[in-house]
Amino acid sequence: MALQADQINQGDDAQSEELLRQVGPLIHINTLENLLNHARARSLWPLSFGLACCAIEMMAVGASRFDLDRIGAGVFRPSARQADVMILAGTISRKMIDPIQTLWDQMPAPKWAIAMGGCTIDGGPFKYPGQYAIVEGADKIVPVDVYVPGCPPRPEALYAALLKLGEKIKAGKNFKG
Amino acid sequence: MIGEKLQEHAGITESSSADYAVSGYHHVHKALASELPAVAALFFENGYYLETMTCIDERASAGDEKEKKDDAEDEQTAEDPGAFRLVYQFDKAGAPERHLITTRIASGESASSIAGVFAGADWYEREVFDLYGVLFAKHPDLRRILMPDDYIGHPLRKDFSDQDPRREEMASE
Amino acid sequence: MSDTIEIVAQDRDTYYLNMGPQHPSTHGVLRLVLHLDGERIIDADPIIGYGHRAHEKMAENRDYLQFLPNTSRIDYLSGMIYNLAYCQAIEKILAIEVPERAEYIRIIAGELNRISSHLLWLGTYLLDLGGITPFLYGFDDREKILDILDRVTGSRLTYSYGRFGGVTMDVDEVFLENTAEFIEYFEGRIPVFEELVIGNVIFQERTKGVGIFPSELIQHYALSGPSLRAMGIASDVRKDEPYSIYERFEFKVPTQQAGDCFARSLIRIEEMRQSLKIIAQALRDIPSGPVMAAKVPKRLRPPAGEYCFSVESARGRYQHFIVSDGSDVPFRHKLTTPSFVNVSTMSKVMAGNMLSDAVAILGSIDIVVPEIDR
Repeated sequence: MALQADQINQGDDAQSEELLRQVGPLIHINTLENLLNHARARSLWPLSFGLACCAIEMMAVGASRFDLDRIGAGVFRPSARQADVMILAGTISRKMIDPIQTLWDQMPAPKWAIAMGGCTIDGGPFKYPGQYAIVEGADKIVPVDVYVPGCPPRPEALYAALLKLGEKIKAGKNFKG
Repeated sequence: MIGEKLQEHAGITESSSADYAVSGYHHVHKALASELPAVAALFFENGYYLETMTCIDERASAGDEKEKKDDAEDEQTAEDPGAFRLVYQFDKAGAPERHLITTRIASGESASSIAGVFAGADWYEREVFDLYGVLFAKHPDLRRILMPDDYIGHPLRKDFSDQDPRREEMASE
Repeated sequence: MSDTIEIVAQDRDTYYLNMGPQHPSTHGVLRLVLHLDGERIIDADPIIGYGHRAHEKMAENRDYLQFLPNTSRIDYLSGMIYNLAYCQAIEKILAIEVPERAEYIRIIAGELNRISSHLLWLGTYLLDLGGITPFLYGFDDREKILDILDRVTGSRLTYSYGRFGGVTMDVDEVFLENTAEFIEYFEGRIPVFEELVIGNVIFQERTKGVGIFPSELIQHYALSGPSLRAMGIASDVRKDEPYSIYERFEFKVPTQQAGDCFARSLIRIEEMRQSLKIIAQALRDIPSGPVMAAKVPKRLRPPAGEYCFSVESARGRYQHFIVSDGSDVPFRHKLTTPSFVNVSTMSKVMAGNMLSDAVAILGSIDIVVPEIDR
């Protein structure tokens, strides 16, 4: 049974269980899973996917002053098939919905998404009654793990988001926000 | 001087000078929609370039509930539904000499493309078509440029309402 | 699929390759549909609209002051220049006089912004061509500029520093000292970039003779900015149609003759030098005084009519066209951006080049995609 993006968002436990059942390995070894999660948290490979202004701050985080490589996340991959985390940096326009869904589908599990900037949280400065061109929030397309507010968020904020995502991955099912 | 050539041209119906210090342009001319390619050719031959081109939706029936009346609309009578107004800006290299050419396109009427004269008009006309729905006859490749190809509606029209079936999903509360 | 193109392949030797909208070298969400014969480009069709955020419609739905935050986000790399350009456009229409000190501050902030935009261009262009070091060097220097501006404005990228009638906050001695230090530091850095980048044989091989703009393009497309200056035409809005107090400053408009990627790169490096010159003069002459005009109307109601205003952004001529109907909400606000013009030339310029040159050409025209789509 193939799940659509909107079904993933419903937060229904039965659906999440179904998803985990489909993508998880046949045998769960708890200590191995923990080890793998610790490894994943420290080597997140982002997809180089800048949409608008926030992309510049994402580039600044990857540059020398803030240096994402210190936490293992500095390897930006152009191909979605090699990336772990999709950092949606910038306003999502309606024309961009299909490419984003394609990219999300191309990413192999386990995969995570960070919604960077006000535009990806709920439309940000471009939200107004009568807005015809944007999607008001990245979680309408992909399941978002961490939201980073700001317009644009300071590089330290994106850094904190990646660390937070690392905590979330390490905690596995025990993550309590 | 191009000013005299324009005034003699059959396509220009009215010319006036503007105060550059306030408005940013030097002359404004009203032109007939059908004569636009000829007027554009005149500018091209005299070394001007097309700086920009845009459209203004002045259809009175499409205006929203704004009560104020501006000078242009005062001239419209009840029978005149107003029109789209295309504005072309021509300028010269070096010291600027900006000419605005405006022309009216009634609803349902097509404009004439000047992409044959100025290749750069191609994208401007596609944008006007995309956002206003004004068709350009003899355009090399008139298709949408900013909105998706299968989009319905012309967003910058004053009476535009979003008919996108995904609108409810994509808007937050 | 909403945006596929009907392609009837009539000959089996050529094929279509899609570059974008997610691609490391398109500098944003630009999509290029390349018609290729092996590795040679027959035609390049840029498809834009993936970053369309409806700025012009938003302008019609809010008053002049409420549109101010949008202005920085149109071209976020020249965010300060764009923000100030909008303020200057409205000030010209309403004849609001800006105090001298505010004018000088605007010049300093605008030129610092121009340098930071060119540094980012340098870093990302070399990243496209395969060199990672200039990216790190360029961003480090850019952080110094951002620190200076951040201290005064509170923002690193999207500024709302300008207001109708001046700027929001005054600058202090620390700002002026930091800027002076930066000028001294950066004057020593430009030769480093010249040696690292311009003198690099790989860079020269990849950019010399590549992406030559045919001279007809000048009149057909109304080119501006470095693309135009690389073809030998000394045109700069700051000299042709001076705005703010640019007439008081002495600076050169660099030109090159070749019209290729290398020429455009040389021009941008030289422009950074000229910006330093302008900032140094501004620091020397800045007077004391208020930074906000004494009388600014609370409700801005430009008289009914049409107004144009252009500035020189880091990419070329940026123009506002405002149609007012006398109320406090514009009737139409058209933005003409340099990247829109530059990308529309791509089908003519890329034809005949190799696929790897497409990346070099696209990087050399320095586009910012939200500026194309608005």
